[in-house]
Amino acid sequence: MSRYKEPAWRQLDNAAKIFPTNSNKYDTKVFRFSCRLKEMVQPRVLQKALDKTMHAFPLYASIIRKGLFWYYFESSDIKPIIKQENHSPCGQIYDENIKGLLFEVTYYKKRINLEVHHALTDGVGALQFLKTLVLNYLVMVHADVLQEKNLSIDYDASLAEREVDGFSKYSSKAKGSKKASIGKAYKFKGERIDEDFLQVINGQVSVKQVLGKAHEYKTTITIYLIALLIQAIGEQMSEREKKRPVVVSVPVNLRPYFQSASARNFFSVVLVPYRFGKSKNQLEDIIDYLKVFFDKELKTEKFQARINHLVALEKNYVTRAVPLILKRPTLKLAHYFNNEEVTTSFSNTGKVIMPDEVVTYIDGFDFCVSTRKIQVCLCSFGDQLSISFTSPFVNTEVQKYFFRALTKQGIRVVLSTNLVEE
Amino acid sequence: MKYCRKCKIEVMGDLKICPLCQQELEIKDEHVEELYPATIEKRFNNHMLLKVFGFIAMIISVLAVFFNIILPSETLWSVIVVGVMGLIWLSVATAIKKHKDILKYLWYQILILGLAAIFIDTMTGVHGWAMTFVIPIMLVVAIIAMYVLSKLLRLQAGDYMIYLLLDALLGTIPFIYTLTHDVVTDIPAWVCILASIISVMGLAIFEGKNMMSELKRRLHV
Ligand SMILES: [Zn+2]
Repeated sequence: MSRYKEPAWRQLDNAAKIFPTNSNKYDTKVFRFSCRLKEMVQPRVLQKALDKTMHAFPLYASIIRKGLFWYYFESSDIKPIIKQENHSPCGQIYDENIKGLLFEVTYYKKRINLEVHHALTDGVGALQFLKTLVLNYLVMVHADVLQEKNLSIDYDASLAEREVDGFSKYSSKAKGSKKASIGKAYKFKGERIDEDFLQVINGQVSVKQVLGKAHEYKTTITIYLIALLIQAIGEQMSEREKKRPVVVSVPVNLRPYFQSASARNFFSVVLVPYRFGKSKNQLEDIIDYLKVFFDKELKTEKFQARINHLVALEKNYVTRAVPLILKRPTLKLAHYFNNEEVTTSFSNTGKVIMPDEVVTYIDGFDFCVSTRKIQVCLCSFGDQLSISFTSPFVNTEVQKYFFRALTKQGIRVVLSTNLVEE
Repeated sequence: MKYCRKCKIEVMGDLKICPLCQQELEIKDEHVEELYPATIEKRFNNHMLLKVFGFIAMIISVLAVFFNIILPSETLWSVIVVGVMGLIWLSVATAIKKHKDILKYLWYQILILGLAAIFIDTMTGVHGWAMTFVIPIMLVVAIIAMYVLSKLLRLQAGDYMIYLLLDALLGTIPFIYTLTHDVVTDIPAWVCILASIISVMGLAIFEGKNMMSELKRRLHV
């Protein structure tokens, strides 16, 4: 068995390249996965579990540095230290003037939070890390029952497989295709909360109940909920605003499409434009539209062409030869124009599966992301579906219409928020 | 647990009004679970200092231009004042933004001070003192400072190497200047180029492998 040698530095993957330039105090590009336990978190054990988890994810010991042409990851010997949660979710992690790791593990009462800067990995990658951390933690705390069982997260990728940059590996020289432009999308407006406070409104619902409803409309949970979201957004738009399409950006995990086990970023984004137009815009109409749209878009060939295009752009000699200092404004501009085409984002990481032996200690998982617009993040554990809205706005109309639509359909919603009353 | 009659939603935590519709909540059961820390730490904001400083620099600049115009004078001395104020402001801004990375900070300050010296020299009639004295002496001091800091802070080669190399590269400029211009003395320039050569050779001998790998990653395309 040859020992895996940790590289001293790596290039950022294709998707990560846009994040360092475009993250700041207001738009941190940080997302959070939390695990709610049924017992209080023991900080000392959590630290030990984190130290152990680091061995399995060497990439997490990286810092971002600036080269003449590109940013790059460099292995560092900084040790991650757990902290009690002391700031609003998804706060700034990456600061180009501070050499620091790109993730943070915090705890509060019964909850363990993993906050990750998007340059490091995407939601699916980060979830692998949190699952391993939680498992290591529970095995340490309940050593008497769990020690002997030799539990592991079902993730048998070698360290080298986890290091793979999926974009580079699976792109081909074949013709790529550019994302079709849909023009300016409807954007939320209104008063924003304090600059570095992100409002989270989370609703817990039953998977069975939502799935039942989705089946009544002959569709999946994702499409059913996106349709409800589009409707909720429509409710608070004026007729004039309805001239612009509502565009939902839906990140798609590319690992299953390409049989990859990368622990780095490997996702694509599908933009779903919905025009309210003259039709009645009943839930059925929106669902039918979405079904047709996703059938057409969620295809390996489509993603292949998209990756080809993105990687060709990155590997192009002109792009490469431009110094970073000039790439930065270009990346900022690209980010700005991409954002103009998006109203909201809906991200579903699906089922979180833990070994049966530890399920009894876990209450659930939550997922949310930093944003300058309104974003929805989903994940489920057992029968519990956790829907988190994050937003920088004072106004909560979209969230109200969305959750009321669920209760109107007879689905029980348990709400929680980090908002405090004056 | 609380309940909102309007939204028909159960609400966890210690809220009195519904976060969605601002209606008063009903108490369903007394049990309150705290989900988020109540006291949230404000991230420190030190831009106020920069604003105050910018404001003062602005007042001085405006006054300088004003008096330059109304008082009889043959030179545009206010341009120097405005330029120097701008550079001081830049220097303070760098101190605030980059102070967490001491070598990067040092490097930026050298650039700003060097520009300031050249600017004042040019504006006051090109005597060449900036290139003859200020810049070479500053670069030598910076090389020594970087070396001492790297030892004191036990920095890894990768952390200081690039700044030392850039500093040494700049060290050639005063030397070239003294060769092509008529100067009072070329001793500072000689000291500077020697210090640059010695520091680069030292790096190459003791940290050669690290230096190559650092250059490789910094320059990858
Ligand atoms: Zn309500």
